[in-house]
Amino acid sequence: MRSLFRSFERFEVEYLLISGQAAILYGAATFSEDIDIWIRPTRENAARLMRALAACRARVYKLTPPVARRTLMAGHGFHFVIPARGTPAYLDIMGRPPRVGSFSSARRRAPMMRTPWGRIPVVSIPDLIALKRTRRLSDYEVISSLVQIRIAQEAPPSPALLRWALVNSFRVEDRIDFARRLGIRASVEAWRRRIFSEIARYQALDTVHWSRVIRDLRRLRRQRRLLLEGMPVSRLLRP
Amino acid sequence: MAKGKSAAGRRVQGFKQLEFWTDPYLSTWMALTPYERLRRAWRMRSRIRNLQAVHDAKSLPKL
Repeated sequence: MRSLFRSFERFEVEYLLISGQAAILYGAATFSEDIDIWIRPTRENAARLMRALAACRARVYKLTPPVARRTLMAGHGFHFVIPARGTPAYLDIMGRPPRVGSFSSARRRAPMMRTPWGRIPVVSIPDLIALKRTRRLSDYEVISSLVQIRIAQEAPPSPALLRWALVNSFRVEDRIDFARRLGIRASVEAWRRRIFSEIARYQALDTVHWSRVIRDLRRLRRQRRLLLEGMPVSRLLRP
Repeated sequence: MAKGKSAAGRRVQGFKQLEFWTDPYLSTWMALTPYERLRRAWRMRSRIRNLQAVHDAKSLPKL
């Protein structure tokens, strides 16, 4: 994988490592099967990305639209396979992931981390939390762990940080602890009800977001405009 | 200091009262550096029997 990130550097791709691998780096997850990348959604950066992928002998994977400004801004995911020792690596790329602001703001907040793949810009904990408010229930456990990790970065945590933790954690016992430190009293049952309804609302919002993207993806497939699965990225480069 | 111990791992000591930090598996995981966590997690991929199926189920939309 080191060669992939070296290639990003060589071709000056503007990107952030997000989702599972970012959660592992922070310590909130222990496994993720793929690599998720958020790129700056410009035509120039998309062209640099494609050159970087071609240099790594990447191939197009399933359900991938052409990487263009319009499809990047429409919130599509772009799927590629990178040959690697043992098992190939699955690379999922987005230009406009849901629930987070602009790439520029997120890039400013992102720390550079030393990893086995080189020094990599990793999405910040608050942005990662926003990205993780998906339909998958397991993501809310990861979010709650990220909150704990963020809290541990400040000792003692400020009231502002505790208020942030209170609305972002989805573990009843953690909410009770944060609320107690802020002088807020509520019953276990009240927190539980509140957490359930918040998760249900986030899940519904995520469904709305993806149904729009999927509608567009269906249209592209009908029009036979999706990239051919297995095609080397090098063949998509303009001369 | 043991090799691979992170600053966050050292800070864990101050937060023992919270369940997240007292889980023995998680506190060991948190005591590693980000570098070491990623290295170990990525190595685990080889143990997944059908990585492609796992990826497709999680990451590809159902059309």
